[in-house]
Amino acid sequence: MNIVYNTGFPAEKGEKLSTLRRKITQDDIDKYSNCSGDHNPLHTSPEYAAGTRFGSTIAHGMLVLKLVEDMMLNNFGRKWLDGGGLEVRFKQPVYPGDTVEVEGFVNNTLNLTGTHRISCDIRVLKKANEIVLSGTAWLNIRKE
Amino acid sequence: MILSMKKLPLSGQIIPEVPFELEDDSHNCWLTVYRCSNTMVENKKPVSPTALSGICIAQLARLANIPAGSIQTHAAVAHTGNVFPGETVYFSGRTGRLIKRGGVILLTMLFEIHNSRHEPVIRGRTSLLLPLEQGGG
Repeated sequence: MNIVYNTGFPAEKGEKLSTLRRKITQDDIDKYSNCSGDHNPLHTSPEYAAGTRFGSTIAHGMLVLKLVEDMMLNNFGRKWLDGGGLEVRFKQPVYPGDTVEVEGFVNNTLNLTGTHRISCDIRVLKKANEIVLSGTAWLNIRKE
Repeated sequence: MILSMKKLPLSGQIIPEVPFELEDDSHNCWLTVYRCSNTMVENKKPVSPTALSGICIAQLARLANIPAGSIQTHAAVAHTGNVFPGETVYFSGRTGRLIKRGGVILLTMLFEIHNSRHEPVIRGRTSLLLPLEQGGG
């Protein structure tokens, strides 16, 4: 039986979250490098990256994960910032020029002491439905 | 270039607390949270927990001698509070076991981030593949 708590957010098992789509550019990757301090040449140097098995620069995993966070914020707003988390496996690289789509579904809701916990299955796809990352995101909403 | 074994990060290495001043760069879309009004706290955009974790991982990886060309295979981040641009935060962590597999080494790193009041705001872990040879990705 699905239990729907009155949270004002997607909370019914199987409910689809609103998706997020974004094209990743080398400029995004460079800006993220400056922001994070991660200047791994695999992300920033086309010459270095050309000699690796990827053949080109790739986006930082945490940059792609930030898009999952953005999707969670679109769906749950500040409640997600106040207490939540993500756990993912990175499966495919994202190259500059790739358009990725973040999608998620509510997979469980738990009524815990003092909080509701909403867990979601999440994944990021790129062209031809290749899975870039998959995992779980959750948030704890304090009961009023 | 073959990565010298003495340059490898140590298994079980504790990385002591490192202060880090977040630049007041609230216009950088990768640093702060997504621009939607219900994420604003007292008219300030918090730093994205994922971006902050990315900064922490990059800083700790440098301190642990994790080589360029390493790639991330797994990440887990749990956050319990907000941090704002301009604030000083504190990173700490430790490396897990090094597992050699073929031409790469698998390394897990645990990390923790405290806010300017030294309260824990983020805990996480990540797994990295370290190339044994340059070009291993």
